[in-house]
Amino acid sequence: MVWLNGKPEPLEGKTLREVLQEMGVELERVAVLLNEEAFSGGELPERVLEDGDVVEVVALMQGG
Amino acid sequence: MGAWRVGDIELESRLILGSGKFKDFWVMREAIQAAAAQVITVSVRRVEVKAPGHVGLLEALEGVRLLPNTAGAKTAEEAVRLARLGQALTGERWVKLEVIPDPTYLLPDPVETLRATERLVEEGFLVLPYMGPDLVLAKRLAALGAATVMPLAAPIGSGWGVRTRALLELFARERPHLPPVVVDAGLGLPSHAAEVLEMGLDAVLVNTAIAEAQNPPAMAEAFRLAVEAGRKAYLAGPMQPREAASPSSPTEGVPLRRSP
Repeated sequence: MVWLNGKPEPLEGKTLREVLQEMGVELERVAVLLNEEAFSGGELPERVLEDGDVVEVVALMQGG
Repeated sequence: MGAWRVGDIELESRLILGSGKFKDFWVMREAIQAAAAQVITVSVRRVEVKAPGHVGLLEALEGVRLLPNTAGAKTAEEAVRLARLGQALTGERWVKLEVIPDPTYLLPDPVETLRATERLVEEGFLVLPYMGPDLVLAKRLAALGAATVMPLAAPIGSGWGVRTRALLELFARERPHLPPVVVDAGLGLPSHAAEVLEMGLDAVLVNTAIAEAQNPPAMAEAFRLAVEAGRKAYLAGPMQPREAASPSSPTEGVPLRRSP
């Protein structure tokens, strides 16, 4: 299982780009944390996800 | 009124805005313009499926420099991850560091803030740490390479004003030995912002006092004017208070009075 935004999902073998496309997000509006490394949506690594990977998909929100 | 610097970033405006709590993006946009703000803080949050962030937020913030925060972090490790994500989202290498374990008073954790500052400076970030009004901590953060220190005036969103004044006066006294001092949190009125600038501190960060005003753009303008007034007053060199009254008119030659 891959942990996507805190929930276990069967995403092994997929790339981050494929996951984001399935989520329906605009790549230029998001960033991704893959384990400890952050990537902008436009510069995603090509490697496929593996069991135990932790993925956070985030965007900018209002905040002080 | 003279520029000031955060690391190698030169800024004219001494009023940093927070983007939270505005009822819509267009009111926020008007407030940014009325404040003549150059920098606005933003947060980083999870995207839900088919809900790609706040559509329209980036458009409303066009032309202003984004300062991502680490709000939501309770530990140094969480803050570092949020900072990396903020950098990936904005392309900016500065971060408003917030490490806040306490949900009631939203007071920053000094130990975790220190740890996160050390790691983020090592990673090449310009770190602007939110902190209690603790001069010793400020000097420790400065020694680690913090680009500013951001002591609180009062709890976040409280609008209580400059409750920490006595301790902030120590920051003003020690200003030559500190990076720029940006007073963040708790300001409720423009006069509070003016008070901070009159003390010789460098800038303020304001969010709730503007966003929750009945007319946010008008309040943003009022804060802009207060910050300018406070800075000018500081540069003008305020008079020294006296222990008793001192007449403004000559005491000699008063008519209608008989000499003894």
